[in-house]
Amino acid sequence: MNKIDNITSVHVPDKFLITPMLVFFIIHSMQVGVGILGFESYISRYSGFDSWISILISGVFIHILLWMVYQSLQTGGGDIVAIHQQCFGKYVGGMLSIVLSVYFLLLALTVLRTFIEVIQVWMFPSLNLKIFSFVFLLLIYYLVVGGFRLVTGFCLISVILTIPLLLLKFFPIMVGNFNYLYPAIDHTILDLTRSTKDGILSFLGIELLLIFYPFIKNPQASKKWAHFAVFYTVLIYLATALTAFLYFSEEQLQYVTWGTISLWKIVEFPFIERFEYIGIALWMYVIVPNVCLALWGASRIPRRLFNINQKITVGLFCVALYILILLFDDRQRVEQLNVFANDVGFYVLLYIPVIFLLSKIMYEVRTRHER
Amino acid sequence: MRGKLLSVLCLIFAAGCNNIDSVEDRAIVQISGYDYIDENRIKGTVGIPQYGEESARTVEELNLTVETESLKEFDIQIQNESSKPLSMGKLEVNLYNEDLASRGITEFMDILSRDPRIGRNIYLGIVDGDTQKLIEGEYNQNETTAKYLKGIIENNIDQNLPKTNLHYFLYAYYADGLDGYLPYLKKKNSHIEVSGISIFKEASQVAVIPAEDTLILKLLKEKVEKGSQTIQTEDGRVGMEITDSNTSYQVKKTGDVPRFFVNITMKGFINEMKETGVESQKNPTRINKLEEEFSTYYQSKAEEMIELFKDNETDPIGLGNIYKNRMRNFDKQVWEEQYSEVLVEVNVDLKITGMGISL
Repeated sequence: MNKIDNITSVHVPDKFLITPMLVFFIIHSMQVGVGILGFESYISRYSGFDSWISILISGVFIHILLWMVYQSLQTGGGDIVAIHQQCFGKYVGGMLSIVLSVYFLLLALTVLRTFIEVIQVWMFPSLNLKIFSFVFLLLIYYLVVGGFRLVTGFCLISVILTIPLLLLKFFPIMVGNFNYLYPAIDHTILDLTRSTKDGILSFLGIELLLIFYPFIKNPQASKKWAHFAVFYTVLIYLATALTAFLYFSEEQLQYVTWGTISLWKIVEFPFIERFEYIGIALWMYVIVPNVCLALWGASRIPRRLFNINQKITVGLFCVALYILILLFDDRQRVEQLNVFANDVGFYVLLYIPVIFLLSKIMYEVRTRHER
Repeated sequence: MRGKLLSVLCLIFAAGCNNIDSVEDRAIVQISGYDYIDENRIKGTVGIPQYGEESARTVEELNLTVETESLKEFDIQIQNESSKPLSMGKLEVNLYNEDLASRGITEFMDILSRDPRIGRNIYLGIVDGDTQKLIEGEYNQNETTAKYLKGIIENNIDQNLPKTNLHYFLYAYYADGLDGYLPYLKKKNSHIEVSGISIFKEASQVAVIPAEDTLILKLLKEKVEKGSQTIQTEDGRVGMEITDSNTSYQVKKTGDVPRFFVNITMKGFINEMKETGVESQKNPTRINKLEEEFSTYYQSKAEEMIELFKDNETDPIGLGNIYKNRMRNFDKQVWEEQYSEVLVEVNVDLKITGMGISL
């Protein structure tokens, strides 16, 4: 009994807590990252224009997983580190937690590297990778060291700042041809499932809740906000995908690497000819909190396990990210990294039901034992 | 504290260390065109506006022409000839001559779709004759050839020309069961005119629709709000302006070959009529007769045009695409074999709403 209590009590001082509503912004900005910039061609590879269904499937899937996450955190108490230790013991549980930490680091790497790739392709082909990523990581280090509340604040800014970008969908919709987009569902469930799997990278992010759960002031009240966030994400993806399907022809989409950025190309204002430059610059506000959250999650786990000062782990991880970014130096490797992160993310999501079941069983056993 | 301040200051000053490119120091390409010379060589021309002194208020244009064997070389050679670095970001019109177009412009499409600096709103055009002469021609003292040409195409899109730009062409170029079309331009003494539409099959031009028929293609493709057409009726020439139109497609599959039903509804008014006899004009049967005559004209013209497309195995209307999107199990090969046998029924429902303000 003592032993369990010892781990379960993840005590976070009151001044570090966040209000439940902010969970909406955290989950949403963790989900929306680089994925949305080019997921149209990924999901339509197998199921063409029917792949909007796969977005809905992913949405339902994520909603169920979110429910499972909340359930297991409630009964397991605390965060994923506590659950792991209860279920698997100190060593195996600790190992699994470290794997999760590495996974968050992988997410941070994927998002950051892919975004730098976007900048290289679209804006500055001769960008100095070393200097740019150094400055970028300095900023991220500064924000993450500032603490979870600071990162949360940044998430709020990022979500609000990027809402106007949605209005720009108006331009491609005006150009699009409605005659060619009819919902004749022509693909099998298998194709749709493959699309779902290929597009899952854009939906990753709810796993972070496994770590920041103790930071929510009133976790029960945050449930609905988390679900709202997922719902909002699905809506945005659906709107983005449908606009892309209107604007591009089915075969053309396969030749487009960054569908959403290409959509900004058609936007024209009297004072700006090429909107994609502003769009990409503004997207920085989406990428920064995204990377910060992932890095925070990755560094929080060692702190929970070994009680190391989080500043040190953040610094170490930043150095690791810097080296890794320099290793991925061409388009091919970035592509591979994306595919790899997508696959890993898919299995991490599949791991959530396992945790759910285990924590339920543990809870049952424990309460019976106590009785 | 002091260290932080210092580092912020450093960042601010470091930001000024970048090379500055001012607009005057760059050659901004606004128009480019390519001509076919022989199998291995093409001739490329670019037009760069030279902004002179403020008082003169005229725009001069510098034209550079090079002959090369490949497109890659073209870029390098034209840079060699230019005294300032070229920027392609403001490219507005891209032209190909007819010989080149009928041999295919795949390579050009690849470059245009790949280069992030190129906008999607630029206009492509096919030139009847020599592209270089068209670009080098002087049309208007106050604007460049690119602006002039852009104005002509835009003005025509408002009237009888179906919507066209790089995006529309690429959409059709990549899509299955849809082919592209581009405006067909001609230099006439001191001006340029849109003398038709050139129809493509994939990346090669296969047919040209004359200027008087462009409205038919526009009607088949999109909503027309300002098209005008003059036809020969039993009693003289009558001109009509279309104020509103709508086209809907239906596919029915009975047996192996699908059948298409095209319903065009339109409204318009008569704006030109060479006829006397005021009494007969007031007569409602006269309007009915005109309505019928116009309907038959549009219907037969549309069917004729679709026949022309079938003969050339091209599909600018996108019948294949419509079929693919509405029916399951679309097979591209089967469709391409079937295409020449496909039945297309055009049905025009026309209403004349007015005869102008004089009797």
